[in-house]
Amino acid sequence: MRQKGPIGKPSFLSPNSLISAGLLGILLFAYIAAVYVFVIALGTLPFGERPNDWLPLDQQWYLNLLAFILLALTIVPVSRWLYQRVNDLVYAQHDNPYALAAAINQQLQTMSNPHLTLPLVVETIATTLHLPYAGVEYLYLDASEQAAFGTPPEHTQTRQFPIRYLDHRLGILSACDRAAGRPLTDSDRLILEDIAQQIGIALYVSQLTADLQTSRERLIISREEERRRIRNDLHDGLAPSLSSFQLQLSAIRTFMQQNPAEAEKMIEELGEDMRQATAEIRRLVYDLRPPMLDDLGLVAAIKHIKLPGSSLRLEVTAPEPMPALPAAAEVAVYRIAGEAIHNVVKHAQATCCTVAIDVEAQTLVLRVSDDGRSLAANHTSGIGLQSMQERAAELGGTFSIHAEEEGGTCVEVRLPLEMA
Amino acid sequence: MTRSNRTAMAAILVFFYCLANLIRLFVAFINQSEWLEVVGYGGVAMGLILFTIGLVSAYGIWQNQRWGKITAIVVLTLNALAALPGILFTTTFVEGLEPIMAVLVAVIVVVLLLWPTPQSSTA
Repeated sequence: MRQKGPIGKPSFLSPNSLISAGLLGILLFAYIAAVYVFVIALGTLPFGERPNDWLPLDQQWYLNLLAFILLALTIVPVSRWLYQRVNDLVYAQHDNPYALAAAINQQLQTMSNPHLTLPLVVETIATTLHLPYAGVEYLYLDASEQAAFGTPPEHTQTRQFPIRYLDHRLGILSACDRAAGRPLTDSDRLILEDIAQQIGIALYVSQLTADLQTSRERLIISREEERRRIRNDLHDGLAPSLSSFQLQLSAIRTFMQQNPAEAEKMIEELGEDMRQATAEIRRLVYDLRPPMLDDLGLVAAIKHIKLPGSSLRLEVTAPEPMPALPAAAEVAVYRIAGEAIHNVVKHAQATCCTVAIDVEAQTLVLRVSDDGRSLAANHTSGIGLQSMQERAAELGGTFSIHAEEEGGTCVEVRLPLEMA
Repeated sequence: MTRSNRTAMAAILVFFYCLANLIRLFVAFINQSEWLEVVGYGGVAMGLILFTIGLVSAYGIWQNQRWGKITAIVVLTLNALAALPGILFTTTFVEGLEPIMAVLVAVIVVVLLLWPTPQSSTA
């Protein structure tokens, strides 16, 4: 937790406290005097008929009583209202809330790291609003962090303002009363709500930037890993095979004249090796992009997913005609569908598996459902589920898995079709 | 600087009220009015000081400054307090109008300056 301050114990002899108390005193005194005077004035003779030596205090006792009752009834709400408003004027940003908002905004605009900026933000809030304590708890990169300025004095309440952006709850902004019995004013609350909103936007942007950076790094790492795998496959698989073919061809040339029968046998062996090498190349190519996607199309490719040793009935539905999909989305849908179908075969004990592809408002929706066992409530994500989740997330999509009401499990993936 | 309509109205009211009272005091002083004997020179001097401060506070309110608002509230409340006995002890309605006006202006200015203004800085 990042903590600065404290501001110090609030003093009742501070200039603001004296101004506040003085102003409140004058206004209350004026209110009492005005009510008294107006009741007496209204209740006595009209101006023109007043004698010069009239004494309303002695003669009109019931008017004094009426003034007293009126004051007794109104003094509490009036003094409460005045107390709030005077505090608001003296302490809060009643006259210019934009100054604080602008200062905070400037700090947030340059926020590259919330851990450095948010402590400054809460310090600005506390010092500008004359608060003994302001703090913020926030989520950043899946970790809960805190920053605070000052400490809450005893017998004060700390008010919380949720920091959110859209549907995302990102943290809580806290601010405590100025002193015991001197709560935050309406202006304070309004501006703190606005600041929490600003922090939410900045925090969300910062989080997105960090996520983007992480994603870029992962992309580069996975690209390099893929390159290394292909290099290894070529180096360890195909290159020795080709060298071997060269040697075998040399041997065949030698044996062709001396021992044609042996040469014939070697040619057969060479043919077998070449078939294996071709299969190896096919595997490599398949790993890069399933050729069936280009040969048959996505829907037919899914229908042709092999289910060895299974009697599962596979039904595939898709819009007719199927809209053209980005290559990345096609591969992702094919791989996710393949993984989901294999999960059904392995775990669901289902008789039928339905793969439904839909396009809804520039979003491709893939649903793989079965009529087998429902998903256990305490299920944990295995490598297969994580892999599907990652494939969806790579393309900015979402992945979810849930038990169907009538039994069985449904995997649902949504992928945006407008990809950069 | 952002100034609400209420603040602008309060500034204009304080300015014209204080200006009118200052002119009235000067005119009464120059004409050596009988009224000066009732109020006394101390009262006149006090009025001059109060209403001059009031004019300055009107500028402060116009600039949306906290000191201007606080000063205006103090000045007009003191003026209203000083005028209150006038309501009780005037014998004609016309005489009673002036202290009533002082109280009324003070109430209006206090309410205009203290009334909470719903605001959203991010709007």
